[in-house]
Amino acid sequence: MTGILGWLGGRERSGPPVVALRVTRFRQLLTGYARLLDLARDAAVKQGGEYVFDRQFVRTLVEAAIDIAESAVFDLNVITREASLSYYEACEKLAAEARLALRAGLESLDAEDAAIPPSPQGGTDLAQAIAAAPLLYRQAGQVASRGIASAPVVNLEDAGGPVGDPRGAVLVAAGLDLDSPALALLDGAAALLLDGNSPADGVASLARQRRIPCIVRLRDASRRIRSGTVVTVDAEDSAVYAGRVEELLALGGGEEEAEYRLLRAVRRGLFELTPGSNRTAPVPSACRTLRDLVHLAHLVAGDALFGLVRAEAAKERRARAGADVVVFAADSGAGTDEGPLASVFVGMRAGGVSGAGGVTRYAAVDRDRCILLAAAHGGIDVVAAATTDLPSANFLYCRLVPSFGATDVDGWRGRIGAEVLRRIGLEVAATPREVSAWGRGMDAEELGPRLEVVGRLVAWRGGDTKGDPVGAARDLLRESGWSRR
Amino acid sequence: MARVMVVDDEPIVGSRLRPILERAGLEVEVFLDAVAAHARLGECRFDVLVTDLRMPGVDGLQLLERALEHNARVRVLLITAFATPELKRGVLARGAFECIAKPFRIGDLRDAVLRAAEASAAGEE
Amino acid sequence: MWNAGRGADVADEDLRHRYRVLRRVLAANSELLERMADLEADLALFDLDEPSLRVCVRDLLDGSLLLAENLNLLTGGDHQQLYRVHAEIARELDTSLEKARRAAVHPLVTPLREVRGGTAREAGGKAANLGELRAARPDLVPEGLVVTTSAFRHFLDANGLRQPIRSLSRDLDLLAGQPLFRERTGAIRALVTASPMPPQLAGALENAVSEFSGVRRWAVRSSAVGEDGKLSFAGQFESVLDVEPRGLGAAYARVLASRWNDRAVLYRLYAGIAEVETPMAVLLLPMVDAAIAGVLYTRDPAAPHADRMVADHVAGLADAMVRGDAQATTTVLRRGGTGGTDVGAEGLPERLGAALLDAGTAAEELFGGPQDLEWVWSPEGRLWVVQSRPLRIGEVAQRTPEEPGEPLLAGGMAIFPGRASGPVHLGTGAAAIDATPEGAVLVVAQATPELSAALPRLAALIAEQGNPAGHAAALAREFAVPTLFGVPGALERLEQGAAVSIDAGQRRVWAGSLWPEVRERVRSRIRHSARARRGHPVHDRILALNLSDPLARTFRASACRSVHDIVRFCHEIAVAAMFRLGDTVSRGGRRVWRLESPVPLNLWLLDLGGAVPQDLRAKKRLKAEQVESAPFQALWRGMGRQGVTWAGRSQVSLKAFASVLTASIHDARAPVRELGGANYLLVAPDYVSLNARLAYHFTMVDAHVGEAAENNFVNFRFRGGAAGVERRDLRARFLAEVLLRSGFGVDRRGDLVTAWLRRFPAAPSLVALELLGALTGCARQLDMLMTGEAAMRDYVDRFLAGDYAAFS
Repeated sequence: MTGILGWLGGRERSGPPVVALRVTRFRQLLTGYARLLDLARDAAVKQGGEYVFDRQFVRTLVEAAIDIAESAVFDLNVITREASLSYYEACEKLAAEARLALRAGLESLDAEDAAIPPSPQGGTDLAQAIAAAPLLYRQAGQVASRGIASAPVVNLEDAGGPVGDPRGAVLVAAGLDLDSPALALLDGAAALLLDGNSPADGVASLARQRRIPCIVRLRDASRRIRSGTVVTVDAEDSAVYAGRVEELLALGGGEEEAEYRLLRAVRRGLFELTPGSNRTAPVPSACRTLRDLVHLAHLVAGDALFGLVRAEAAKERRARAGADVVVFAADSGAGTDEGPLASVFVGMRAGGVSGAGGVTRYAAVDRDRCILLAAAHGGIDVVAAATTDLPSANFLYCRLVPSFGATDVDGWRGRIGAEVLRRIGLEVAATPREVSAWGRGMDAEELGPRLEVVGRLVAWRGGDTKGDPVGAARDLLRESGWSRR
Repeated sequence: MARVMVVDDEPIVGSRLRPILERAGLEVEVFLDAVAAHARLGECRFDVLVTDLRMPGVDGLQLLERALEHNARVRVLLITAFATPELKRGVLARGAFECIAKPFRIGDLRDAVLRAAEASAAGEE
Repeated sequence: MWNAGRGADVADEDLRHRYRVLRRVLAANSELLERMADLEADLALFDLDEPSLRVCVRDLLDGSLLLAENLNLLTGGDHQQLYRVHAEIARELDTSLEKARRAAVHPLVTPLREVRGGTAREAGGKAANLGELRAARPDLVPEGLVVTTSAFRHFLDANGLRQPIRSLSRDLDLLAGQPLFRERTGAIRALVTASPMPPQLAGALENAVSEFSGVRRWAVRSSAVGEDGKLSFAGQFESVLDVEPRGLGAAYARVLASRWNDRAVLYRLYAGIAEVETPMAVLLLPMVDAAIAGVLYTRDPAAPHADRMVADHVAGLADAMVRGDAQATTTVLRRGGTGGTDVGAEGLPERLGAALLDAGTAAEELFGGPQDLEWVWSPEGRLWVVQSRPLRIGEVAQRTPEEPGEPLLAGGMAIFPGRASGPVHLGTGAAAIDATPEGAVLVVAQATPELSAALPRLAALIAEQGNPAGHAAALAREFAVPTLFGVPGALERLEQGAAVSIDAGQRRVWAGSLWPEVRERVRSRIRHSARARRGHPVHDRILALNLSDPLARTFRASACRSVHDIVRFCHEIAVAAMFRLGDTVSRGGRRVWRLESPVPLNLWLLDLGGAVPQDLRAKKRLKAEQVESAPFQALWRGMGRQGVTWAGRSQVSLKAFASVLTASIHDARAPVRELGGANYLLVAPDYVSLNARLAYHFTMVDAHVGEAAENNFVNFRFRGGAAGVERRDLRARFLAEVLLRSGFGVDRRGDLVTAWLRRFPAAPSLVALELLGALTGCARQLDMLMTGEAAMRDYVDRFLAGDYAAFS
């Protein structure tokens, strides 16, 4: 299936090791993007309220994001041989805007009275009352939205539907996502307790918008807390008490500190992927956030890398015409029999890749990392992964052309692809130009089957979608053997 | 009841710590101004000092020294956004009880303060 | 591809492009240095097959490859050799790491009969010795089992203990003697004893034990790597006796936990033994019923040359005696003789005496030196040896030094802990550093990699300034020199030649020679550890720094042998390349602003990005205070200091002026430019570069000043000028003197003066820049003022005293 070339694409030639340099550079760009996503996630967790952060944190956040963007634009220009200079300008503009917004925010903070609110009541009584209250949870979950509230519980996991009036209740559930019908009950709820979820996800963000105290990752909450139980949720201190703790309720949840508003505003300018920003023309000047810019830069860099690798492969007579994938392998004995590329190949073969019609796919591998670049339907699909023994160093990234070409005006490839990728637990971003997905921090065993699914998606030529992307996604996963897992 | 002084020129630190520490039954004084805190350390005995490292006027290490001068059993927690291992080592070597990186989980800091208060009460000098 | 057109002005664009490259070089430099510092720490804790170590190596290889490319982007491809060098380094590392991965597979439990001296790495020292003795004399040593060091690693991994132990072990050297030390070691032991046997290990152990069907009780003893070998660890670990088979798992964990006994941890810290060097295996021996038990020294420690052995023994098990809880009887055995003399009332049975002499002789012959044996005499009258280790004759108990008095200095950062005594040597200037005598305590203002030549000779190093993550710190650790950084005033407070004693871990320096014997011990350890580390692939190919002196002829791409070399080379060359570049700047482009100022220099400012606020970009002129750049502001403050004048000359004699004019006409080297011709400032928030041709002089300043001291630099160059050779020489010497006395490194070649300040923190770097601003102003007039040697010296003093008006 493959024609394997040396990493350096012909070491006998003098001059720099072009393929190694560009592949490493592209990987650095991707790593930067992943770091940006980590920053975004971390900032969202901080927004949840369990952490105390100060202005310095927000300043550092802004500078760290700018540095990632600058670095990404730099890498892009190295990969495109200085053909992307306008990105620098866009980057400077966005960086200046971010700094300006930060400064404006900080100035308005300074203008506010910096006094620390005095103690609302004598500490001893409060402490005694709290110590006496029956504790259900302390420091067990993560605060996703601050505040203090007390009410009877409505447990959404109750068999036969929730018991009681959800309005004004403390809602308890195993987990919610933005599509859950139960989310409608959130309006008017007193508080929300979830077994799962994350302070960085959409539901947490919604709870904050509506100022509903919320604790997530509260283990077994939906099994432990029955409907009708009166609880007091202290999402200022990550605790849940049985019964009403009047002394706590008397404290109330004050206004959130200005730092939280500042962080919210800054996050928007840095980390949002504005879907429409590059709808008509993918130009850096249309980017509205640093994330938009990094996203665009990584797409363009992937395209350029494809061009480069194709050109290098063409120089090699050894690149046999019959190969489906031309593989550049690092000197260190890397092959395609094991490691992440092997898993992708399993999926591709199952998806029916055949050698007809010239090579349009290229890959670069070393011992436990790979990058696959494949021409697809007028664009480039990219898969990149690392599967080491250290989960924190592992990642899976992929990007798919969202359509099967002229016949697929509705973009079924993108819609189904996004659904599949979401179902295998990746973080998916879909824009009109591509579907991209990230998975980070998994171990090699978790990544293997996911890489197979991704390989299958790359090779997949569509089929009868029946107008139902969810169903089609389910079918594809079943064929890949995913649902059995 | 243990007495805790919290010093940070960033108001959010005091305003979030105070209620949490009071809930844990501690007596808390909060200072934005390190110079005022420095003066206050001479007037009153504190069991635990929680202070930022970098502040205008007087820095956290000066406060640490001042606190130890007045009460050899005081336990000092330094909080800083620049918690490099070297800094941490330096701070511990100067007699701090713990060095905590900002941003911190509020529950973690509360626990550290409680540990410090306990150690102060058990008190080797 | 969506190309943007090239910038309006190619030169302008090119310059900004190069500045961007420089920024990436600086960012990569500090990131890679930090990762190398992490790696160095991890190297002491982990084996080569540890995933985090491998990933770190891989990232460093990637990072240094791209750094090399960046340097080539900056220099137009002048250093392509780096790629070849890098590929070689990568290949070698890959080979070694793969070898380590394949070699890392060992059985978890091994029968003692298969253990030999050569397998000490897996079986630990005690088991290796005993296995060796058993192979020679199966009649003397019972068959037993060894739970190997692979099992130890497996136990830690399976229970997820590595990370928590790593964080609890952090900074323990600083905590010695504090309650927190005991808390931390106690927490580690609690973690270990609370951890269950991993199923795979439990299975292997059960399997092996099942072959000893007659054994009801076991003795479980430590067998750490190094124990009973070169290192003694005597009595530091726990043994658990009388263990029933079902209790073996718990006993195993207890013995493992004793690896973190306070004394054992302290011993490793003070002896400088890396954690990874001493994994713990555990020896399981069937319990032997003891009529008598004891130890045998094959030489009398009190009289090593006497031809006799000494046995201490008690009735029953020897354990309490070894611990010192029970009173022993001593019996002296004459070699070649028949039995004991000095036999106490309940003396040794004669057969035992003979058996001991026989066993002792066998062990001595086998191990080639006097031995210390632990033995048991069974009720049936059979001798069993359960331990044999080298007898250290003359081993002196470590003296604890009496509490020294008030320290001369206290504080700073311990870069490498340890104690040393020696004479103070003040290293002011490169020549003085080179002249550092063997065994001295070197004191310097700034820790730079150039110290590397002196480091191997030092007893200790004290630097007023230094970056703990920098090159110099890495070198100090590499040479295991007790080192303190960040001790302001050290040069002033320590006296040349005075004997001092330093305890770097405690950050204190005392007068006098408190522990002269330490130096010898430390030095022998250096030899030991240097030997151990050399040949360690990660050390040689990543961490070792071979290129330390940028002025040396060997400072070449092809001479790089490690990732550290590549990083250092790229950083040094990139900064130098940027410095040269300033001269090629030409006006034009869209980002140039005229600087409004009282200084009558036609100053133009080119924004490399971020120094001119968005809302001012449309303007044509800027005020200095509107420029957002700390280094620019510092330079500008200096240029505007009270007394520094930029206006016309006043105190110049007509004669002097005429001589300047005459000289300049004939001096083709002096790029003559009218006062009022354009001068350029390249500015970014953390960067400034000034290129000024003031009348007949050519001045260049460039500086990067940011949060990471490791990346900071302040460079200065001054050249040309009118006037005759003599005056130019005087002026150059004036500058060199001022700069030297202000802490710069200085190089003077003819009338070209180059000065630099590297890796200082932001505050002193900015102070230095301010000084350069004032100096640039004052230097304009120098040709007129340098009438002779005395005048030159006078003006040096005046300048340093801030009397700038004297130059106007």
